[in-house]
Amino acid sequence: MTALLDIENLRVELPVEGKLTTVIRNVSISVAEREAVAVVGESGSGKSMTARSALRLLPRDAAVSGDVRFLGESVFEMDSRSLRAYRAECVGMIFQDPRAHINPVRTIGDFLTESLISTRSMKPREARSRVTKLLDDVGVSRAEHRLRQFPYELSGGLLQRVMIASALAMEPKLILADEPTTALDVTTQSDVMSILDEARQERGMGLLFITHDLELAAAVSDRTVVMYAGTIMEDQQSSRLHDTPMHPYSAALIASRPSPHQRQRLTAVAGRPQSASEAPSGCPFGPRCSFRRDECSEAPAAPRVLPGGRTGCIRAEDLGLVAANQLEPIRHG
Amino acid sequence: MNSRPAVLRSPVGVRLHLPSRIGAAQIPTIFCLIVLGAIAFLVVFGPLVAPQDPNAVNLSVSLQGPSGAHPFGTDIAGRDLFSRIIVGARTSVLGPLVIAVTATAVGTLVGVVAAWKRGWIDSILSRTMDVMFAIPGLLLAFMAVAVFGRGITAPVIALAIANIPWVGRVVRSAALRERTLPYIAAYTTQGFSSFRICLRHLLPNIMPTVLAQGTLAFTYGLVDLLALNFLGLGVQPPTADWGVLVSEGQDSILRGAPEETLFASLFIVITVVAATVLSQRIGGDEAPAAPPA
Repeated sequence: MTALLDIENLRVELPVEGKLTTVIRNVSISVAEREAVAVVGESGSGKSMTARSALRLLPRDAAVSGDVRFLGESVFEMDSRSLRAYRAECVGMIFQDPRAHINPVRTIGDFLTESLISTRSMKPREARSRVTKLLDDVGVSRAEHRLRQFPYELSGGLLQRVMIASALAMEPKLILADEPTTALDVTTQSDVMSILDEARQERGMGLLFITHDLELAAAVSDRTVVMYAGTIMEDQQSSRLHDTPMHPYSAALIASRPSPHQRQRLTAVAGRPQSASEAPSGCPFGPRCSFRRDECSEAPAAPRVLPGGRTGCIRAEDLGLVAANQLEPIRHG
Repeated sequence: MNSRPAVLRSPVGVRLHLPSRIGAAQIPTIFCLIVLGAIAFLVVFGPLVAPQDPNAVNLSVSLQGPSGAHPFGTDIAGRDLFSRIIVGARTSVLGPLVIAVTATAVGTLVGVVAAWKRGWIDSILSRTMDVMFAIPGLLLAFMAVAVFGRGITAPVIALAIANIPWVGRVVRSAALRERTLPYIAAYTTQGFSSFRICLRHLLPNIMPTVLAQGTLAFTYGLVDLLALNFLGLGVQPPTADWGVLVSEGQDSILRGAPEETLFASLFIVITVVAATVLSQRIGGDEAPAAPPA
């Protein structure tokens, strides 16, 4: 079966002060139909850049190699017309800060109906009744009234639901959500996330979910990809990541989360996060890893495929990070 | 930007200088609108409301001071100045209006295209505008008059062209800032064409800047055209035009009758000040206050 979205060996370099700097190294992620994949990582780990490259939204001067395919068709080779059609029809994007991503001088109704009217040639009245129903679906009350309001009249949580409705409006096969709940407060976060999750499952859409929240990733995704410094550290089923991480980095991340049950100092991951350009060759986590050996500096950039998933750690077997995972094979690549 | 009460501002940093309610802060704006509205009324209906024939010569009442029959007095040929100023509004204001509309339309197009396309298109457009800055508008208008002869058409076209870079440069910088905002990227991800994004979304968001620059272009055009008329290169006597009136009235000043120059100048100043204040009001504090050299 062809994957819905297939990011293959993606490598992105951006010019910083005239020099090309690597931001993504050999990243391969695939999302199957109806599958939800979470990409977690610290700030600057390249997770947003990965999502943007799925829509070919990279800066014009970026040097890109590798490929992104949607249902087998290369996104990087599309001409501008089919690229527009792909962005309009195939993928819905939900952004981090809805307030910044919605045109402030147009009403919610204009924002939601515009693509239906222009791309689907729908009649304005038909489009309006359609988005009214969509707003109902995503839990926006008094939808008719909301359509006449401007973005500044709505709260952040409400506005993010509007954004979700706009992503659903074109009935895409894939939803890209780039930290959709980061700008919201915690109670709204869970509401918005469950609405998104429900809407996605009802409509049978795939999801690529970018977040730095491990709990959230585990809650809504089938599979979690952990990124660090532009590199994939590991990739396995979300339900097992917590108990059996396959990389020392994920293990350190999981150990550093606060717990309401234990009163103790938080364990921090030693050192500070490094960007892809600062990280050494080989395993980028090497300098901060307590299990580091000399051969780690020669580790390949792309993760190895193991029965339970993928890991970038060459010592995964020695460290006993693999054994527990061999319960069932999972599909990837 | 200073915070100003009763000015509605959207939270994203896009400035909408629309009054949410009419308060003390809006009084200058409303006053300017009333003044400009009155002048617009004169432009349209001037010849109909003028109490007397502006060109009727009556040498027996030459150079009279203000009176009941002649509110602003009479000129050297005994023509009613009040009527001449009312009728003169049309030529004095329509020319600058054409200049402002043309320069704003072309300048906005150039600015938005340059900011959106970047790269070599931007370089060509921006450098062309830089070169145009080197040529003063009045000089261009003089050249146009020298080539095409006296009259209002040639200077209007010349000044419209000369004002394009003043609008284009400011619109370009506004559009440059606007296009990096996330909501524009969001429209790109929805698969909208560049043309549609620019026209329907970017342009409305930079409209305050565009309008402010357009109003400024109007005042520059007004002053420059009046200067040409004053020098006798534009509108020709006996047509009543404010610039012509200022020029013709010079001789009368020495004969102790400054009314012609005085009242014509007063109308010029009122119009320019009202338009300038309005442009600063709608453009917010970002509208450049300095006039072109």
